Amino acid sequence: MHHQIDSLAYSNKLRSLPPEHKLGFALLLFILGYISSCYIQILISVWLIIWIIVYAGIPFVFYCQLLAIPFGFWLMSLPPLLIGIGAFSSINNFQQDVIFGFPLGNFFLYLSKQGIAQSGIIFTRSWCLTSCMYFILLTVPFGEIITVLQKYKCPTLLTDLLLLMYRFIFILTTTASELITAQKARFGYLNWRRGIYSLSLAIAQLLTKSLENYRQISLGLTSRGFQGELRVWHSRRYYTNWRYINEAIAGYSCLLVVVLAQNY
Amino acid sequence: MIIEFEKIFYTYACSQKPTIENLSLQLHGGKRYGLIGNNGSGKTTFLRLANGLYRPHHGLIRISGKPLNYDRQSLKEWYQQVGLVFQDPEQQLVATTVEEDLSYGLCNLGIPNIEIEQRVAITLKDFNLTELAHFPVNYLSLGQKKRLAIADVMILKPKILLLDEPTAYLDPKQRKELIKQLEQIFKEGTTILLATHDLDFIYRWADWIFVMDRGKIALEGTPKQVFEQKILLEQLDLDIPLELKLRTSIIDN
Ligand SMILES: Nc1ncnc2c1ncn2[C@@H]1O[C@H](COP(=O)(O)OP(=O)(O)OP(=O)(O)O)[C@@H](O)[C@H]1O
Ligand SMILES: [Mg+2]
Repeated sequence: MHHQIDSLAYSNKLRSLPPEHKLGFALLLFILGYISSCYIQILISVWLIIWIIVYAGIPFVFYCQLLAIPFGFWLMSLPPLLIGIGAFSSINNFQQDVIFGFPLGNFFLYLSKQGIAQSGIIFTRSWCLTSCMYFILLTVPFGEIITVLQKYKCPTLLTDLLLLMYRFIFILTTTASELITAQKARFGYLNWRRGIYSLSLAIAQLLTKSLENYRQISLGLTSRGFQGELRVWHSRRYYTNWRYINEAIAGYSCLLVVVLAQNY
Repeated sequence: MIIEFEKIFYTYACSQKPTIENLSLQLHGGKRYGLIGNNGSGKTTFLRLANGLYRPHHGLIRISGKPLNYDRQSLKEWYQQVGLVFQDPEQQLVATTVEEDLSYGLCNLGIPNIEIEQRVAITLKDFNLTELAHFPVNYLSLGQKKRLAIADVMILKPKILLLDEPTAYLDPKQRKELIKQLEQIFKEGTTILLATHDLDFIYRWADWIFVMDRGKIALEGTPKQVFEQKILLEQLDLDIPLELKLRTSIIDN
């Protein structure tokens, strides 16, 4: 999944827009989504669907899969939110919160009104905020995010670390899949117990291998004249697209007006 | 230009026996050198010593008579003059796109952007990578990664290019292309030293071959001279190129 997000970031239809524009847009939406009510959050999420599916050309099914991740977490958080429990003797204290319920020994188990409202809020908020994040991940290649961070004076230590981690994830996942394929070829996963054993072996291997990888990559960097900072040059040209800018500004202003009107 | 290695010793921190033991050899400008030897004979270690990555515990390395001091400035120059391509290109690629990765070494040298632009464009063309300029490094094929790793070193215009098993894991087509590329690099005036297990290739390609055994140079000479030493090679557990085998069997018959 990580590889697919990454490769889409390189091939999507908004790639040629300046990364600052995309990052700024998503960041501003993120802030607005964070402070506003659930209706605005839904509006933002739907608007971002248009940006991601229609403008950026991300496959619809894949985007749904991505959205299933926060949705899954939300589902997991539902039971403790929706189900209330209280002492039967003090039922008067929470009577108005109960939609439907039944006694269970000394306790009273019920479906909570407040819980439903809360889960609704969590749902729209997580949908909205992850949409903003996905917009960045799906339309801006990681290297370009780093370049923007560097441009705005993010500490070099942090950007270098991020860049190396990014390279590492690829090397690591390749190594991991090779290890597991090799184990499968030797019947390492025939049954559940062998599977667990093989997996633990693979993880231990992966750990030592990544340490070795780390050592080799530092040698590789040194041999290429590393001077304490990962600096590169690029010739990418970005194209400012006024149609998108206009839509972004107009849409954002409308949302902002609604938010302000709601609050004051 | 001559690079001299004089009585080099090198021992890894975690081993008792020296990996490189009393090794002396000379590399002259304008030649194609081959380095062969069994697994674990110390080829990779030697190349890393030659590149300045490891520092010998005894012995001297000289370029045109001038010994290598291991201070920051001389190392910086050394890395540029003596370029090393690792066996696994994964370990040398750092940036996210091909073009950025090419520029990395030049940026380290503090070269102005205008010149970087020119040199990147030329190198992309030389190595047939122009179409991939903005392609993400992580999705290149192994052959392309190897090509990029060599281009990364060659863009620094080294006097000598060290290659660690460049043909390993390549399919015949990519191997052929790589060999063509090396020929081009050599023609443009770069000395090449290439460590390999590919005896057929090295027999045809090299001007001079070093045979390594347990950290020493056991034998050196022109390919013909080296592979005539059948008894010695047998003692070292080394095979001879297919071409020679065929020739002897034809003569025997
Ligand atoms: N980082 C290390 N720490 C300790 N010992 C090492 C290290 N790297 C290599 N060695 C040892 O040094 C010896 C020479 O290794 P080297 O990799 O130089 O051989 P090689 O000729 O390149 O072999 P191959 O043909 O398999 O690549 C081997 O015995 C190896 O085990
Ligand atoms: Mg080796």
